Amino acid sequence: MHYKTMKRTVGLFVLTFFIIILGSLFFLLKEKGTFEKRYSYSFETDSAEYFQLGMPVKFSGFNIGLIDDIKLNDNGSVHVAFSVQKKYKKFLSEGSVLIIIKPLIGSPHIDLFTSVDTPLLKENASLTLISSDNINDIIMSLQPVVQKAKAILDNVHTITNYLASEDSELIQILQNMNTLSAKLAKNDSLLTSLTGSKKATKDIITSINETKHIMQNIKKITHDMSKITKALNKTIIQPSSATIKEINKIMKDIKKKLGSYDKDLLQLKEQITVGVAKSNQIIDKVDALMATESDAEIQLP
Amino acid sequence: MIKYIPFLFLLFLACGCSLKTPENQWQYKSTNAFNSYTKNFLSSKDLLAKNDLKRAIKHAKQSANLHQLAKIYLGACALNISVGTQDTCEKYTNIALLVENNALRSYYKLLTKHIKKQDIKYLNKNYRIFAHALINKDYAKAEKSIFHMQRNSSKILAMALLAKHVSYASLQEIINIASYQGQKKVVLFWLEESKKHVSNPNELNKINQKIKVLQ
Repeated sequence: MHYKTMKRTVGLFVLTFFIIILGSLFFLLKEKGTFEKRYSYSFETDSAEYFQLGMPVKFSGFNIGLIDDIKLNDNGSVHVAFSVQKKYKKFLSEGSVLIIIKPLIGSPHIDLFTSVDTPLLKENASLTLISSDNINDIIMSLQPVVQKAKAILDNVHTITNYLASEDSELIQILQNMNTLSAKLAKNDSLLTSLTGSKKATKDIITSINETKHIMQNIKKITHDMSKITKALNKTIIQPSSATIKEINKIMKDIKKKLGSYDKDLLQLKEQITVGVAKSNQIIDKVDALMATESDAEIQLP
Repeated sequence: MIKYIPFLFLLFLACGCSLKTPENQWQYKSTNAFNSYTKNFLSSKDLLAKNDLKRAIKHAKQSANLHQLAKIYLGACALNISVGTQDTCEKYTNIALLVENNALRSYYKLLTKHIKKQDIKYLNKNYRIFAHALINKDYAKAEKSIFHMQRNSSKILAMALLAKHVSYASLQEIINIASYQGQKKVVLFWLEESKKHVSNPNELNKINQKIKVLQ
């Protein structure tokens, strides 16, 4: 082949090669949406703790955008700007909200929840961000609940102490009952004429007095109980119920993740076992290659 | 020269292919694995040693001839005793009735210090004088005989069997032998034992420091 022709062929080949490479790169970037126009939106938050540049914004589990900018405002709040691709713009409508998801395992991300049949949001519009609690937040929110529960228990303790004290109503009532029954026992002529028996009269008087006081005590106790349960409902049961739901959600998340890790670990274990068995086979084969007649017998120490 | 290399390679390959592998490969594999176990065990490479012992047992169990398996169990027991670990050779005793072998039985008796005069003839030559002295409770002679043994592993085992009666000099000698061979487990055992012979606090401190460094 002539030298000039060869030079042209090589040049053509190199040129074609670069064109193909650049073409593939362009196609790849185009498919990734690098050249597409992006639409910016923003939201305000109290803290930038869980946010970082490039953090994904998800919709129905798909990445539709990412955080482009985080700024600290003069009033101490944080301004976070994010952008979405053109094809996902339709999901951002008026009334859409963002929720920051902070799983116990895995990196945090923002979920977009959109409302149906509402007009689309304009570019650079601001959205509302709702923060979902992570385990630290839950523990923090539990602290006042625990303190309230402690206060209630203190109150219950005070009540029981009062009831048991010498000058409490309960003790006084019991003392009065004692005096009354003693008096009735001494002066029981009225009832005796009705019952015809002194013993029956005494029993009736005791029973009536006891029943009356028991009823009073029950009334008092029920009243106290009602107060306590009311307080419990407001201060403990309702927040605890919400907290338990959150914990349940987190636990499910952990279980799901650990479940998949568990499977992976079992597979890894199996592969390691096979690997060890194979390496043992290789060792045996290498040993066999080096073996001599004397290697057939074990020499005891 | 370069053109001869492929020829040499082919020749080497042909030689390799022409080598006939023995039919009792399980025995070779088991022996090799046990030898490797001995080395790794004494060097305190426990993970490797465990794997080697497993391999040795696995290969030995390929055959109905339990002689090899019994030897492995006895060997493992002897090694444990060599480094001061209590071992009653239970695994061997479990299959002892299935293996009618006087040499193994005598060796087991030596390990458990129940050897009798009539068993000595079945023992390896290495141990005969030692066993005789042991039966006669002539510990000085037994100790002396240890250093006439040919194999170092036998010396270490005999020393461990005589542990309570060895002199400090012999003890130092065995530490030197084990140290030279890198048998960490043996060295640690005898360093611990040497503490019983030392009353000088400085010396004791030195030994303790040595143990600390080795651990």
